[in-house]
Amino acid sequence: MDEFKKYVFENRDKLDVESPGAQVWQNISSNKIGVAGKTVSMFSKWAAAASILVAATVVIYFSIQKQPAAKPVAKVTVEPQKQSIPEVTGRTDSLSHLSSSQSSEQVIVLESKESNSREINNTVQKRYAKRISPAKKPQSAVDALQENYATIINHQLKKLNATPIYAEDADYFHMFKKQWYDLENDEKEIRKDVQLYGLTDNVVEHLINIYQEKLSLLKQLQAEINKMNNRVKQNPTGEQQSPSYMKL
Amino acid sequence: MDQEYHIPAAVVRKASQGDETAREMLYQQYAQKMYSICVRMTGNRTDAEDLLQEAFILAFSKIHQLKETGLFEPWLRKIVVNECIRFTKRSFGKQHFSEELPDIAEEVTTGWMDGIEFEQIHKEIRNLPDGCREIFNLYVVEDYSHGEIARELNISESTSKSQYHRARQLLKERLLKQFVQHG
Repeated sequence: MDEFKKYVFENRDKLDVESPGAQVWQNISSNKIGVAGKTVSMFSKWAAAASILVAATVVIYFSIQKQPAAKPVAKVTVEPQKQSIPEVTGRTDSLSHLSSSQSSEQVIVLESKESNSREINNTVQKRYAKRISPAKKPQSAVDALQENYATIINHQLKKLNATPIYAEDADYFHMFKKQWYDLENDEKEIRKDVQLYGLTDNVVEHLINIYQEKLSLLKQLQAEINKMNNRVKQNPTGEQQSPSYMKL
Repeated sequence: MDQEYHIPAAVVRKASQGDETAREMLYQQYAQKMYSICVRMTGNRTDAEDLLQEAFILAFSKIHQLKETGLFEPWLRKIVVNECIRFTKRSFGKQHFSEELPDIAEEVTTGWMDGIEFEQIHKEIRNLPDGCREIFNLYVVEDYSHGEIARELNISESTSKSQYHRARQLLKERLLKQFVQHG
């Protein structure tokens, strides 16, 4: 053991000078733990929520597929537009991009001719297909999964990027940013694999893991920012600081 | 702490049976020490509080597994350090530790540390850069070997050693600078 290490190690108790806030014990005691207690981690809760969402998406998709054709009143033609599967990126306008594309690019032509049930069936399917997926082929459950994750993640991102940060600048959270960009890169790599090798169980599992980690990261980051802002509110310095903003 | 008092084994036993008062006693006794570990490992108080909370929740949920009630403190410390290691691995990628630095000669004397307050040392440890801070804490304060650190953090032993030397060098520079400036 080198002398430096020995000196510090032998006096390590003297290094214990920090005290936690009162809130910590309150949080611990409010977490009801039994005698042989089990606690559920935040990640598990998010994973469970994500699984429920996926299951709901699949159920909705299949129920839409089974809907009977509507009684023909007029012919409705939807001109299909090419649109890529929404990418879960750090752009804050990605959510608005989704909604605006649905309204602005869709072209509906109403004709007052009679039509048979098969034609109406096709157009009804196209309208729903347009809203769910831009691809000409019927949307798969995995595409629905990606899109729904993208919607939630983009929503969280938008909220996060709009949250003012007091007391620290956005660079304070550089490690969160780094982790975010690492996940984005991982997602891009997996998308490349999908293009090369198609969708496999392994790829789907990786995708789900990445989306879950992204959601968890955003949640953690939001909680950190809220915590810091609350502290500033509780302990104002007297100086009015202009807030900074995350830009993920 | 200015005053030490003995936590009877009975308190640990009661805590394992779900007694809230006993758990609070244990928390009050060890929170400062464990929190200081978390602050030194994470470098910031917000993450440290979260880790402390998670560690105590985990400890109380597993306290019934503790056979030797007299070993509560080292057992708790192990849980806290493991949580800090998990946090480190979650937060930092492997490339964070990959920097290999030239060997630095072993410290022969520690005379330069005389007169420096331990509170100052703790503060400078907390302010070490990410990567070398964690390794410094594990090696020096928690007495992990470089081999153990390498296994825990999925890095090489030589990386662990070089990061430790870097941390030690930085600490020395900063502490001496503080000492010269403020006396």
